[in-house]
Amino acid sequence: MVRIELTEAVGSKDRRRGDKFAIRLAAPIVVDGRTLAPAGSSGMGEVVYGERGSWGGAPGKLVLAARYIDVGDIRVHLKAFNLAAGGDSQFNELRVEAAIAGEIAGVAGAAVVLLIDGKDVVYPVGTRAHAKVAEDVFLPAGAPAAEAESPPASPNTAAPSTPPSSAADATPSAVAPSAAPPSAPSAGPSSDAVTPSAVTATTPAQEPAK
Amino acid sequence: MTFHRLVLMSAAAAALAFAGSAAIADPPAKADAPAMQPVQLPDPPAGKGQIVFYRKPLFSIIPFNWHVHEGKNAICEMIAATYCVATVDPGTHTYAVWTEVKNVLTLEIDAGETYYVIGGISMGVVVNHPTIAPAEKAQFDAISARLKSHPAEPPPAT
Repeated sequence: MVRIELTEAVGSKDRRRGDKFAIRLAAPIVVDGRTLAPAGSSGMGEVVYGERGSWGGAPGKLVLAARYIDVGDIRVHLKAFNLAAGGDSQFNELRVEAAIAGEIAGVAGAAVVLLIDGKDVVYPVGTRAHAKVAEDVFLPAGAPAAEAESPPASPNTAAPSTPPSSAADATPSAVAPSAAPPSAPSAGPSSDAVTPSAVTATTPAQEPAK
Repeated sequence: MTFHRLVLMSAAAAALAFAGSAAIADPPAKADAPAMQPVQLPDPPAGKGQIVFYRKPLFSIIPFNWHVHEGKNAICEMIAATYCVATVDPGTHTYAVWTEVKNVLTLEIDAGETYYVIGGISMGVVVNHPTIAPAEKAQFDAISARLKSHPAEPPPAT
């Protein structure tokens, strides 16, 4: 499990499927006490689905995926980022039924209600979530783990909409895959294999910048 | 109907539509009730992912339920105060619900992962519109003890 942080705000109002956004490691990747990828390593994510809130109170939606982190010249592909949320519907379901009754009573009142859009989703800069390494990758062995988790990126002005309250620590519910033990090289520069289950997050979770 | 009466009725309709925030769409738990434990879902089968489709409890005068489809195949029926777990293959899946208009959600499913989708209702011109939106595990866990489980639709015969 690796901890990822958004370095740019991503919102359902203006992002659509296929749009890219910048991410970085919020905590170093540490294996057997050695830092293989430092916190702050940059990478790229992609919008899986984005839809703005629409008329009648339909909520905006945003589903994000972390694609990779670059560690020097090595690209570490990621999966299971699972940062996704829907904006609050402008109406709870009981209000909708009341509005239907209102439609019967007055067309103009119904028109007002229909024109109200649902709320959009915005993940501000600094939003954090977990991801998993998608495949085995060998990284050069680094220094003994000593660095603290990098401070969150400075937040830009977030759009005035509903930020997901629990999105920053969204953890996919999953069973960690069993991984074969990494093979130890016999000679030459030492390196460590990063397997999906060998990665250790060494720093405690932090609240995102809001 | 006079214009004056029409204005008054329209204003009443708008007020009625906005009212009800204190009404029971999601009844709060009683203060002295013991804490209810969230539902513990099984892990997905090996090589598969799973999606939990759920709707909040709702005191509804007119029941309004719908099916979630992937293409032409019905996946789950979304009924208020219930949840349904669908087992799916890894990959990109697009789900849709509709009455007058279609509401769509695309997810990327990884093996061994569980995803959550919440159903809601938005207003339509003639009929209500069902909506589906991604949700967090914490959101589901907050109300899952008050939800009943029902099975997903069987996969289409190959």
